[in-house]
Amino acid sequence: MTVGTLEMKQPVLPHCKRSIWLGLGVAVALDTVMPLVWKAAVMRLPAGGGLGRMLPAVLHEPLFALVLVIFLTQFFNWMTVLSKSDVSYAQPITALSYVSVTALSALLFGEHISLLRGLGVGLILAGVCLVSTTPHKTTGVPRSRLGPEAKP
Amino acid sequence: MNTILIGWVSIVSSSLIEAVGHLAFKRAVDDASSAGPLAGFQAILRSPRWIGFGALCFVAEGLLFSVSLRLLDVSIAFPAGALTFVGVALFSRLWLHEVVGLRRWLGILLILTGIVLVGAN
Repeated sequence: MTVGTLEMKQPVLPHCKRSIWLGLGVAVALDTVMPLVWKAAVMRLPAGGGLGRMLPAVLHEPLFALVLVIFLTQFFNWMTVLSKSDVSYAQPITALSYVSVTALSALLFGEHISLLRGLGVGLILAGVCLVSTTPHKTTGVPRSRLGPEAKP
Repeated sequence: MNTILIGWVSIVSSSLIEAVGHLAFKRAVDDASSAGPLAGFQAILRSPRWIGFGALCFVAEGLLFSVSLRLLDVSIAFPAGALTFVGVALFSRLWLHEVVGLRRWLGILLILTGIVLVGAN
């Protein structure tokens, strides 16, 4: 029984970790793009007017459909990541979006990055590195709520 | 004075509510039978309540964050929002019994400091 559990665990881990990072990459990319698309969608709405004018405009704006698609992709991707890792492992790593947003605003819009801001980016990267070296999933903790599906 | 206080209350509660939302989604996906791309669908089918509660948290977080943006300077609201990272670590330890070791805490602390520096200017 014990041997079986061990055999199941060993080969799964490295592959699992790679797919977690793939998912985290997707999450950070979507986090980076989302505000830009959302903003672009909002800017295309007619100025003023109540909800009665706003709602049809939202429904006719294809960019809002894109926002919805990004939302749904984000949700299912995030759930996939969470199914394989601790939330206290995966969530801090998504702070990489602060780095990508800073880098993108410098590259695309020529925004100046101050020394303090650069230092902040460095600290975020260091923090993510540190978190990434911790075990990605808590094991061996009895979770009574798993009920009958928990391993004997 | 009063608006600043309300602003702070909304930013802090928005961050913590977002953390609770993350925890609810994690709790839901723990009920999924497999780890992988289908986990999200299984979580919706098996734990619609946790998914619904989590989604509600994210909506509330969005509203409260918008309120705080109206009342506080972006350079305050934005870094303060990073409180979510502390909330997730703390709650996941207390509620889901995840092991959050010294190294992970240290990483989160570095991330937090970094976000304050990035957001404050």
